[in-house]
Amino acid sequence: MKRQSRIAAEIAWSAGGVSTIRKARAARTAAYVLLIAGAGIYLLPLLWMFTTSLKSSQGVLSFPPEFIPSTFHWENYPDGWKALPFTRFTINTVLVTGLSVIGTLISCILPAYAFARLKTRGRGAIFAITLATMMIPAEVLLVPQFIMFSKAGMVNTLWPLILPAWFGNAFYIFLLRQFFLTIPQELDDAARIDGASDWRILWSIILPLSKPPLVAVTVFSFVANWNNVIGPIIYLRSLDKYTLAVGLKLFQGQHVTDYNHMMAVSLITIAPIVVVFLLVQRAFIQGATLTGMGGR
Amino acid sequence: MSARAAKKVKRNSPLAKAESRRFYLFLTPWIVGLVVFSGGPVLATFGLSLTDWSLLTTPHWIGLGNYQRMFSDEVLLKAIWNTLYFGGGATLASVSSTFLIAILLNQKVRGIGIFRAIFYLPAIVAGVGTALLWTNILHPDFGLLNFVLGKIGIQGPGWLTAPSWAIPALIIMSVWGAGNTIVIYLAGLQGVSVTLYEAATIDGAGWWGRFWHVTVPMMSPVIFFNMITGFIGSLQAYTLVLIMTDGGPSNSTLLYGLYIYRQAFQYFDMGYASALAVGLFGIIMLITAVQFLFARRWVHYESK
Amino acid sequence: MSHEFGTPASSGRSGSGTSRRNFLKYSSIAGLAGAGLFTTAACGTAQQQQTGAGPSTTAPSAPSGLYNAEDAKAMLAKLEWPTTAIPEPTEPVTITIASTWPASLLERQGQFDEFFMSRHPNIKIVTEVTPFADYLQKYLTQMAGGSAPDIMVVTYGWVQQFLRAGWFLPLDDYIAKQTDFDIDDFTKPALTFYQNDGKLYSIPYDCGPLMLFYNKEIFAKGGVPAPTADWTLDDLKAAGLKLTSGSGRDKIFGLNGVPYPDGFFSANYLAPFGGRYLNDDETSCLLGEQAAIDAAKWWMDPFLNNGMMPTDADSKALGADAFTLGRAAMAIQGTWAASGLIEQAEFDWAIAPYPKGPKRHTTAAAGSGYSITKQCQNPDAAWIYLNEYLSSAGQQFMWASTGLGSPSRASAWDAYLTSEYAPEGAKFALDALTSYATTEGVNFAPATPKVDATSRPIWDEVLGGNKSVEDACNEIVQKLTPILAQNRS
Repeated sequence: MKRQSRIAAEIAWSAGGVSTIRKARAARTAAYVLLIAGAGIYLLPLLWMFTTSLKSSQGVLSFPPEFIPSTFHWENYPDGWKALPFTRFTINTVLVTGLSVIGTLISCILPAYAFARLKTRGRGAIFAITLATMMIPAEVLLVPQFIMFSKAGMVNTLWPLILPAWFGNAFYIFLLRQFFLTIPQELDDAARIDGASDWRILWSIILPLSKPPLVAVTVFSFVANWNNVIGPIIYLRSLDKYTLAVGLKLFQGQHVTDYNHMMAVSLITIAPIVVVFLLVQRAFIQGATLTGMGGR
Repeated sequence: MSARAAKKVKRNSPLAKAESRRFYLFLTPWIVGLVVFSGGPVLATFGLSLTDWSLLTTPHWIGLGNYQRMFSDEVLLKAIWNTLYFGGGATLASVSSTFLIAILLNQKVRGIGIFRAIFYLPAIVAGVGTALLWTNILHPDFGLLNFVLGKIGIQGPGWLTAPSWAIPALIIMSVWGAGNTIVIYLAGLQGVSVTLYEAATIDGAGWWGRFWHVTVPMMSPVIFFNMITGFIGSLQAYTLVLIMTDGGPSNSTLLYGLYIYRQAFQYFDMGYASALAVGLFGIIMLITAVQFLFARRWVHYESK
Repeated sequence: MSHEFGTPASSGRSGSGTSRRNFLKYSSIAGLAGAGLFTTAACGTAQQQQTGAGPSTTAPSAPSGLYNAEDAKAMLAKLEWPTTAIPEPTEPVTITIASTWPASLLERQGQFDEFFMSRHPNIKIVTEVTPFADYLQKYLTQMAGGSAPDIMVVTYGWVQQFLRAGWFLPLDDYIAKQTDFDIDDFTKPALTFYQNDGKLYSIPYDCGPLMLFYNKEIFAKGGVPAPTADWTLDDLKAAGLKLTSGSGRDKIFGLNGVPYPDGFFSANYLAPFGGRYLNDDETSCLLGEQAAIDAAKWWMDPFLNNGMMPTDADSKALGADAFTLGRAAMAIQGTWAASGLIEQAEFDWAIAPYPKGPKRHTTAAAGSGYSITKQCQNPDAAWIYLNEYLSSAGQQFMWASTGLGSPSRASAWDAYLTSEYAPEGAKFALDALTSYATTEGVNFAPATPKVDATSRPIWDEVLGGNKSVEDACNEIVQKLTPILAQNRS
């Protein structure tokens, strides 16, 4: 169906003649200019982290600040990595992030479907409560939550960082529900007449049509878990249980921060996030539809 | 039969009952989560707000004492004002500017994936790195921002060192870090039908017409979602100010969340911190409710 | 509200239906990613169980070779260790220690712990390390949840909150039994912060005075002779004014840091002129007295009129203070700043005695220590550890020979002064500790964090030029009066 409409669009465009094509080209150039200019600003942190990671301890605070160090200290990378058991931290982080992302997807898709598709008394109230949970400042909830996990004997294990992800998250449920709602009800009705169960409708109709929001939830929960600092700091006690984010923070002392090693290890640890992002962002394929510019 | 009676019958029909069962089945993990991971701690927070708990001693019941204290707390008043200023500014600025960025990132041009990753980077690079980077960018004498402003003949302010510019500086930072909002917009843009643009083009709409009459109304539910969650998030924000300004200068960046943190973990006054948290919850509820009230005027649901 | 949230339920964008079907043909990326992660996760679980089965590793595993292991062993073997007056545990016990060491010092800690465990086979030491910035939040939460480590590091600014809440064990009985403990070895100001009702609750590991740090290069370039032991605060001000130069990018400040009403305000800024910030038991604010106001004016004048000091916000703005960056000729700061300067400063610097005031010669001293928590199951074993860790030998190994400086025991100072890390003039710090350094006027009562947070924004107004020093002083008195009442116990 989409292919047909695309062809229709192409016909419409070619009918517009040379001027439309020229316009499209100009628009594409404009888009590139804007993208590159914006990318310059948005790349700053990475560039800055990179140059900092190559400086000597003294060069980090040289004055006036120099952007490119005079000598490149590549050894900051292996030195930084060896300063703490970062390989161990990586294993822990992958474990926490992997299990949390899977848990988040499962535990948020199901309630989002229920809120979007199944009608019952009390649905509105439960949904309102769901949203309300986002509005309570997490910093005070931390203490009662800690006491709970402490009573369950889970302090200094990775469980307090993984388990909650398997029982839903209001933000992701809200997000998915909003997108599920935009999928026409007629599609499920047709399937239901053919005898499809909820599971079948969810699996074969809703989820395939919800690739973009699922990607968003995957990316968000991946980044949130990968970078989570306060959770691991509160719940974990021994070094062999720590995650990357905590390890990075240990470069920061009471009086001195070891910036060059911290940035070197930071860059290593954000690489997987960038790779995951590049892989999943391809789900945003519609493109070119908004202003009519861009290639086809 | 009255409509009400008909509804009643419908509710009690076996079909409706089955649907209700399925609803609760699908909701089970979340209801468990709601009760265990949110409900319990939330109730505990309400309870603790009625005590003088210091985290280190046994709590004593003091009734509404903490709430009374909130009404005479001048610092809290300042924090509320800062928070509304920051929350409103950051949400409106990022919801609007990331919308334009998302449209740009939705173009079908070569290497767009790389550009998307670049624009998402600030959301990944969290914590100390960001704080130090921005203190450098915003430095009155050496910062990049004032350097650029100087080139176009504007004498830049002291940003984080000037009470009246500190919140605008934080707003700029939060726009820059709003990668998640961009991703949500991108997800939403995938659902805007090509046929609508085609129809608009055939009707003679230019790019502005297509943007204003197709993109904006079709995206209004997503814009609305970002507004709601943006406000909720920015009204609770505190980690960045904790690292960067610690509330100063002159309490100009003392955000509500930071004030709660201070009370709990610097002043050891968990009872008052809990009451403050309940207060913030109330403020966010109120703002969210107002947004829903106004939503009817501009949020567009197509087949209604 | 539920109704509003429910509105879109009845809707569905009819237009998007057809194009959406398109998504069916794309493989489930999320699903694939999930599967990949699950495989990794499964391996991780196995590994986790493996480590979980045995007792967790002893000290943090050895990082990069900052401190040579062989040298460390040789040094540990050579040092004279105290006797153990308390009976050794007969069964194996584990002692957990909460610290805030940065990555660079963990290696040294591991070397000490290994040595200790070889001497005391029944005591197993497990170090918990937390980033300094998150330490309080972590352990307040842990203690609220009823679990505390056996031993924890404490700093002077908040230790009183914990010990008054009864979380720490008094150590006097152990000290009495440990005849070679030699409590007089601790420098004069070191023990003050950890006492309550005549009992001692922590053993300090460091105690350092505020000293005058100076940038030798800026002094040489400005043709100003280096500070001497005879310097008065007037000399400091004159040199500071002379060395203040330039503007914007080229600005050099005479002195780093504007004085703020904080823990050191009395001893270093007001007392030399006969003024005082808070009274002895920190229950009332004395900033309204004329001597205090005059002293504050004396200090703020070169800031307001001559730009001699950067504001606090200014000096934070490049990730380090102006002195560390080489933008300030002098700095008044604790000796604990020395290790950072050794690592990061790109210029020659030295430490000078803190100058005398017209009324008194005084400087503040502050420090950190270790306490045993009331939950400790084996306080005897914990004491055996603290006794060795904070003995003269322990301090020489941990803090003196590594350049962290300011050991709390006078006998450990020699190892610092002769180490390769001791900065020029380090011995003046020891002189200060044995004579004019004081804890008098250093705030550490429970309300301290709130007191600081209350007066700081008012002082910011003075810095911004919106309030006179006198008005600010009076406003601080008025705002602090109800808060200081909390210190009456």
